[in-house]
Amino acid sequence: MVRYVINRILSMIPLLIVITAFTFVVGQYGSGDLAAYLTGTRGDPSKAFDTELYKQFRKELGMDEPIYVRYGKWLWNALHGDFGKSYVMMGDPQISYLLTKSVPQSLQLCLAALVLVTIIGVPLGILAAVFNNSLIDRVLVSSSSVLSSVPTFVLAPVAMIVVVVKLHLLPSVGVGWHGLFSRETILPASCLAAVGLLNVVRTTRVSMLEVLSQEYVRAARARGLSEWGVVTNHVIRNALTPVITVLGMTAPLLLGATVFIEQIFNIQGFGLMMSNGLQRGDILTVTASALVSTAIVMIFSLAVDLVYGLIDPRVRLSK
Amino acid sequence: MDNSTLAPVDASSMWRTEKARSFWDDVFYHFRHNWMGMAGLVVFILLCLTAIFADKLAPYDYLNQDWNAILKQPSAAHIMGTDDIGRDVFSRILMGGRTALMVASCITVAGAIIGLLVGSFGAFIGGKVDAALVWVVDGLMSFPNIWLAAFINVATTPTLKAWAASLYTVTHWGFLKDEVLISYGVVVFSIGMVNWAWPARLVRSQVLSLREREFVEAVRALGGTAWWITLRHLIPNVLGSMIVLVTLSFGNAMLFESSLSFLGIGIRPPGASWGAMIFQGIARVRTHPYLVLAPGITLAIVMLSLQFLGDALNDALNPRNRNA
Repeated sequence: MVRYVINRILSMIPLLIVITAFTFVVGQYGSGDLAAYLTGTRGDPSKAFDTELYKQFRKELGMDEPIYVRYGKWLWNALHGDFGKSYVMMGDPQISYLLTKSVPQSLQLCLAALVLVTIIGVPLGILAAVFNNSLIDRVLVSSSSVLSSVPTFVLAPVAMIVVVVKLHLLPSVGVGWHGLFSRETILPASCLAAVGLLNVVRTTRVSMLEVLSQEYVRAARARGLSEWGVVTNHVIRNALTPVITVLGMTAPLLLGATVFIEQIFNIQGFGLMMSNGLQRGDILTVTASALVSTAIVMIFSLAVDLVYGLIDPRVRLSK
Repeated sequence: MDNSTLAPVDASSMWRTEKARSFWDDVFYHFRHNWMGMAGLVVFILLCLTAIFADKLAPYDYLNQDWNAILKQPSAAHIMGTDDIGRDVFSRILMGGRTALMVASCITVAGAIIGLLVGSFGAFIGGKVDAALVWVVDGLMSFPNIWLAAFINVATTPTLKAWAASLYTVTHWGFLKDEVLISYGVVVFSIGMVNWAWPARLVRSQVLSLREREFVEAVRALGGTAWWITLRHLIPNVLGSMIVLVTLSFGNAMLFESSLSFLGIGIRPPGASWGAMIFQGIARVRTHPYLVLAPGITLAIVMLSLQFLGDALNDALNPRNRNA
C-alpha cells in the first residue's frame, strides 16, 4: 500500500515537469517581450523607447539567461512557494499570495458541486436503471443530458435570470464568496454540478444494469427477496465502484468550469484569477495556475485510486 | 414413405425473395426511426444553411452600428433587439453561426487527421514510441482541456500576430493584417492542439483490437496485403466509431470556440461569436436579458442537437452498443 502510493507520487513527477516545462517555454517565447511591455508601462511613456530601462527590466526578470536555466530557477522557486510577481495586475502582487487567497474558495465550490452531483446523480442513475426503458428512465436520462449539454456559461446566466431575477427564490448574488454554507453558494454550486451530471447518471445507470443482469441477482430474487431488498442489499454496493472512477474524471471538468462560474457569479476564486490572467495576457500568473491546477487534478486522481482500492477488494493496489 | 401425396413446393419460397439488408441499410433504418437524432440532424442542416446564407438572410449588416437604436428590446424591427452599440442581435447571431461552423469544421478535420495519423502510427510502431504517445494523450485528457486551449491561445497570439505582420511585409496580402481573421486562426490552432487526443485514442485502441481479430488473421492467411487489410477491413470497421466521434468532437470544438470567446480571448471583436455576445451581454443581464438569452439559447439548441445526433449515430452505427 505505502509502496503503491510512493510509486504513484513518483510517477506524477515526469508529467508535472513536462506540463510545467511546456507552459513555461510556450509562455515565455509566445507571449511577447515582458521587459518591453514593462518599459512601456513603467517607464515614462512620453519618452521614446528607453533602452537603459529595457535592459534593466531584462536583467531583473533574468531574461538574458538561457531558457532551461530560467525554467530551472522558476521551478526551484515555485517548489518553495515563490511564483514571482504578477506584473500585469495593480501593485505587482505576489502570485503565491493570489493563489492562497483564491484556491481554497474554488476548492470548496468544487467540493460542494461534487457532493451535489453525487447525491443527485447517483440516485437518479439508480432510479433510471431500476425502471429501465420506461418513461421515468427516458425522462431522467434525457433531462440530465440536456442539463449537461448546455454550456455552463449559458446555463448559469439563465439560472440567474430565472431563479434570482424573476422568481426571487434566492438572494441576489453579491460580489465575492460568502462561505461554503451560505445561501449564495447554492446557485453557483448547482450550476457547476450540472456539468458532471450526465456522466454520473449514465455511468450509474449502465453499471446498475450490468449488475442487475448478474446471476446472483436472479438467485436473490428466486429466494423471494423483494425488488427493493435486491437493489439495496445486492446491487447498489457492487454497482458503485465504476461511479467512483467517473467522479474522479468529473473533478477536472468541474475545476475547468470554475472559470465560467466564478466569472458569472463574481467569486474571487482560482477560476476568476485564471480568466483575468488570460484576458490580460499575464503569462506568469497563468503558468503558475497551470502548475497548481495540474497538481490538484493529480492529487485528486490519486485519492480516487486509493478509495477504489479500499472499497473494492478485487483491485490490488500493491502492484 | 409415399412422396406423391406431398404438394409441389414453390421453389421461390425456399429462399428469401427480398433483398438482404446491408449494414448501411440497417444503420439508415435505425437512424430514421430515432426522432431525437432526426431532430438533431434537421437542426444541424438548418444551421449549415443559415451559416452559408448568413449575409443574405441577415436583415441588417452585422457590423452596422445604429446609434438611434441602442439597447432596444426585441421588436418587429429588431426581432432579437439591439446591443449596446446599436447592432442588430439577430444578424450577429446569424454571422456567429458562420463563425462557429467555420472554426469547428477546421478544428474537427485537423483533429481527425492528426488523431488518425498519431493513433495508427502508435498502434503500428508499438513499443516505446507508442507508450510515449499514450502518455501524452493521457496527460492531455487529465488536464482541464479548456484551460490548456486558453493558455495556448493567449501564449501564441502575440507570436502568430508578429509572424503574420512580418509575412505581410513580404507578400502584401491584405488578410494578414486582419486582426479578426488572425484570431480565427489562433482559435483553430489552440483548440486543435488539444482536440486531437480523443480521435488518436480511439483509432489506436480500434486498430490494436481489430488487428488481433480472427477475420483479419484469415485475410492475412489468404494472402491479403497490409494495404488491402487496411482499406477493405480496418477502415470500414473503424468508420462507424469515427463518424460518431467526429460528430461529438464537432460539438466539442464549437463549445471550445464559444468558451474561449466568452473568456474574452477567442474571436476578437468586431467578429461575431456567440460566446463573445454572451460575455458582452452579461453585465446587462438584469435589465436586458435578451442579450444573453438570444445567443445562449441558440448555442444551447445547437449543442443539444449535436449531442442527440451523436447519440443516435452511435446507436445506429454500433449495433453492439444498442440498448446499453
